[in-house]
Formats: sequence, C-alpha cells, structure tokens
Amino acid sequence: MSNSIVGEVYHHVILDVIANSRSDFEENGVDDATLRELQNLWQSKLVATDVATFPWAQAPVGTFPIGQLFDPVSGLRTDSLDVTAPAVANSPILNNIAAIRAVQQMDTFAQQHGNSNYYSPPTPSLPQSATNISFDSSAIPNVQSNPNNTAPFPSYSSNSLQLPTNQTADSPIINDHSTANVTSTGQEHAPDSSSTNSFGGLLLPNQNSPKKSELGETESSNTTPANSRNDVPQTDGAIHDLDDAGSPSNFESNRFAIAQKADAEIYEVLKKNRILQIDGTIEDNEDEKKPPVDTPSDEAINSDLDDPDSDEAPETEEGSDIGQAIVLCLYDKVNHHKNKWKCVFRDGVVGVNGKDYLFFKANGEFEWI
Amino acid sequence: MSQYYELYRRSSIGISLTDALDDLISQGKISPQLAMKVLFNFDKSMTEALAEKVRSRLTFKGHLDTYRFCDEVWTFIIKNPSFRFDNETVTSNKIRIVACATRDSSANR
Repeated sequence: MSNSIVGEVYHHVILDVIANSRSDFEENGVDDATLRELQNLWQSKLVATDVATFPWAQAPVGTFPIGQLFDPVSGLRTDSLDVTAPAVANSPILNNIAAIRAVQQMDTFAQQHGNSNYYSPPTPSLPQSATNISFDSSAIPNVQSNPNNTAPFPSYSSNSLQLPTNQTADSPIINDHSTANVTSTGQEHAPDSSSTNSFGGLLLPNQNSPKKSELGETESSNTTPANSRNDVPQTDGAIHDLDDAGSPSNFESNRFAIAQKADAEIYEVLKKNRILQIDGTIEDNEDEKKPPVDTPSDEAINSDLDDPDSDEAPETEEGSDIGQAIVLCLYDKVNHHKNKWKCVFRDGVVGVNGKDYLFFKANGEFEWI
Repeated sequence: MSQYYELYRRSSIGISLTDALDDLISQGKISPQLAMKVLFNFDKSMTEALAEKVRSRLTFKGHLDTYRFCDEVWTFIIKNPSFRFDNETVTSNKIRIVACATRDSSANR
C-alpha cells in the first residue's frame, strides 16, 4: 500500500526543511527554539489532518493489559514503560493521555481485586450524545508544546508506586476529608499525623503525602486545617488550592470567573470552526429585514435566467481545493485522439477520501463526454 | 527566484506548514520574508523527496469533465475516477488534477 510510505516521506521532508532553514533562521537572528517550535507546530497540524500514519505520532499508549503493566508484588513494572518512553517523549499530548490511562488502569486493578480501601474517582454521568463528541486537539488553546521534547512527568522508580497488599486493621488508609476513621473492628481512631493524607488528591498505598514545599507553598500559621472546615470536603484536587482563594465566597467567585473564561474559550473555538458562508455576502441577509417592495406586474419574476443550466452545483473556484480530492503532480505527456485522453504523470501527491498517496509515475486514461 | 514549482504547497503537508508559519508570523516570532524562505526550502525538499524516495506506480481512469491548459499547467477535473495503486483501488466522486510541466514534457493540443 503506497499510503504506508507517506508518513516516512513526509517525516523526511520535515527534517530536511528544518535542517535547510536553520541557516536562514540564524541569518535573521531567530533563535533555535523558534525553529523547534515550527517543527512541533508543523507536525501537530499534520497529525491533525490524519492523512497518514506518522512515525513521530505512533506511541503504543494503553495497549498493554493490566497484568503486563502492573505487578501486584513489586509494584509498577518500569520495563514496560521504557518501551513507550522514546515515542511518548516527543508528544506532550500523548504524555497526558499516558498518565491518565495509567491511573485508570490502577483504579480498574483495585476494583477487580475488590479492595474497598482504595479511592475510586467518581464517574460522571454523561448523556449518550456527549460520549460521541470528538475534539480537535489542535484547536484547544491550553495545550502547550514542549520545546525540549522532554516528558513533563517524572520518571517513577519501581518503589514509588506500589499496588495494594492486604491491609490490616491496624493500617487503614485514611482520607483527608474523614474526621474519624473506623477500622474493621468498629473502633474509631483519631487521625494520626503520620498517616493522615494532608494532600487532597489521589494517594496510593505506601506513598507519603507530598510536603507543602513540594506543592510550592509555604507553611503559614493561619492555615485552617481541613477537618475544621465547614464546607463540603474537596475530593477532586489539592485541599491547599482553597487557601489561595482565601475564603469560600472568594473561591466561589474564582470558580465563576474560571467558568466564564472556559465558556469564552469554547465560544472562540466554535466560532473558528463554524461553517463559513460561501453563497454570497453577509449583507445579503439584510434584504429579508427590509419591507417588501411592490414589483411591477410586467416584471419577469420567473425568468429563464434565474434557472441554472444544470441541476449540479456550480464548479468551485481554483483556490478552493481544501476538502476536495486533488492530485498535484508533473506531466510528461498529454495526448488525446477524438475524445480519448491519455496522460503520463510523475512525482505526484494524491489526496483522496481523507488520505494521501504518493506516486512516482501514473498513467491516466480519460474519456471526454 | 526559486526554480522549483510551488504546487506542492497545496497538499496537506504544505497547508500544514503554511498554517504553522502563519501562527508564528501572527505571534511576531518570525518575519514574512523568513517564512517565504522556509516555503522555498519546502518546494525543493518536496520535489526531491518525490523524485528520490517514491517508487510506486499508479493508473487511473474516469470521465473527463473539464480540461484546461494555461501557462504550461494542465488542469483536469475527472468524474468518478478510480485509482489503482500497487495493491489497492481507491474511488471517488470527483477529483481535480493539477499538473505542471517537466523539463522533457510534451503536450499535443
């Protein structure tokens, strides 16, 4: 299949263009980071077209079964992650997907083994139509390209993530938003400082909660402990995020501002992706608002000039090839005898049915009607 | 002036490059003159890559709806074309063929 070489050829073209443009960038005083950003932008936009499978976008994310990724005895098996590391490191979007899927697989593993001590994130109930929505990753404004091609997530050793072992009654897993912990014997224990999860996010067994210095915060004396809060305990992020807001009312206003900002961004994305008007100027719609003008009776309303010559849509202009099937090539010979045309083309790109094909030589036989 | 054709800029990889350059120009990171130099490099690299790295052959048939020859460029619009690649066949409703002249090209009109 000639489509299989498209990704390799395009990859070679991208590297060649970037290498040849480096001297031009240096002459214009543009740093090398901008050249790398151009390459990342170019590759991401090309992947979004989905015209072929590209070597820089192939990452076997989520293809391993749970038993292959995780070992109940030794924890996370890093050898299986090393296979995906070179491919994932080139794509910051795939890095996020890999991290999300890793957490999902850990949750699935915990649920399969019936361990009720583990925190399982709430599954939002979405309508059926919402599950079919597909987003264009290039249109999301918050996705930042990684110019250094480094993975934004730290590389974990096999000791940092541990899978559940049999928990005893003496070592319960304590969540931050629980005021008292009940063991299997029914006795209540006050939260111990050594075992309390002061971090509001998801913690795995045998993993200590991160210090405030790791969260980029300083210890303050007026920080209200989580147990003395009157609001609903937070389960979807760090508790310390509330401290930035100051008070619950301020936090609500911040949430409202964030929601407004998100709505504005969604509106901008939808506005960019809307179907453009191609059948006239925008001012044409204003004729409908004007009061109707009495036309003279002798005017030919149903004139023959109003009817198109054929039922088909008029041919599009030369520059509007986007979305059409197109062949871009060179010609060696073009011959025709009566209504039979024979053409010999070479060095061409065929874009048809959303896929690209390349050819070295092409023979065409057409019949002109 | 570049000696390579600019027609490959209308392909998917060329449009992606043009969009990426437009983004950098709008952000003020590069100048339009530098973007034109990058596009000239793309014309050269794409022409050479197709000539050197692609070896597949193609035959296609269909009904010729429109033909045009202007400025040494043939433009065909083919209705109901069928492309036969090495081991597969692809069909479509309509396709536009834009072909520029090679050095040893001939066109009997």
